[in-house]
Amino acid sequence: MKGCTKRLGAVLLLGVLGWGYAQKVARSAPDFIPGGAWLSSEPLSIEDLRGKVVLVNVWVYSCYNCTHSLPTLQGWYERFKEQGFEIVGVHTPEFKSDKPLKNVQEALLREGVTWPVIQDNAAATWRAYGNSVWPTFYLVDKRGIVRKVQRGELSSVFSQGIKPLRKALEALLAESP
Amino acid sequence: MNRLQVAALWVGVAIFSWGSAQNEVPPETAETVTVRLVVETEPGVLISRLNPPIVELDDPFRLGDALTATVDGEPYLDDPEFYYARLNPVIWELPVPQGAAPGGYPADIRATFALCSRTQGFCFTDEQTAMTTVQVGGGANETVVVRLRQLER
Repeated sequence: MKGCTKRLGAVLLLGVLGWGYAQKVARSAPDFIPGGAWLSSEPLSIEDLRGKVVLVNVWVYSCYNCTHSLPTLQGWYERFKEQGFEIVGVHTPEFKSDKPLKNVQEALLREGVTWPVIQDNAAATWRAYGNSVWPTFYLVDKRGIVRKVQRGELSSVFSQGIKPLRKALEALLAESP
Repeated sequence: MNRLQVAALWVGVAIFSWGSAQNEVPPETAETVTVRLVVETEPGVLISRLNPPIVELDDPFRLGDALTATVDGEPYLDDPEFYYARLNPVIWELPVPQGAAPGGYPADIRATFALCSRTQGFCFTDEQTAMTTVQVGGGANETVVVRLRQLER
């Protein structure tokens, strides 16, 4: 009986630890907190995007690792948009020169970014997501839950993150809403 | 003592006085203290040149004043326009105000760095503070080593 109680305790402890770990990733996506303008879109909320798989891309145009990731995102956007995929760029400045709207608009044109982008000049959305580096990618499912977080450049140079993120993206698109 | 002897004596006194003056200890020069900041990075972590580090030292002798420093370094060869591979030491030479009492004076350093990891493909900022003390009155100069963080994946 004593051994049984111990085993039950261990199972419960493991369960709690496992649940806690799962919560680190599987959590409701924080909403976008305006810190400037919305570009290429009307203002959006996570609620507006329910039913879609959303890749929240925390980036800034002056970060090489961020701009080098854009071709990968563009490829996915073209391929999966019709299947209910959306990208939202959260543009969090690193430098003062990253803040003016004009500079961001020029960067979007230059880089060919066509998906919605929100200026996060006060880094409020950055903080809400608990972000720490540029770029970071939060994959949000159709119910608004963050299912995968990927940090670092997605490109031919840093290709290790591409496959798992794409696999997760395709799996989420296949899920029923 | 004839006139010639008197003249010779005066010349002798003059030469002696001049020679003594040359042997005198010069008036004490103003003391300076030096703070030397050494920034260390992990391999693969580069420091942005586009947004150069902001480094400030609290003036130990003027409460509330901060002394900013110009930072330079060795460019990163693959991207020399955009990154430093490492920074040169930052040195502040601080004149000690007259009448400053011997002892330790706090002189804290605050620094903000924009960093990129070439191995992990992301960028981040790192803010650091370091507490230092300069010694007035024959104390040793201070060298502060700041190690920039490397984010773990």
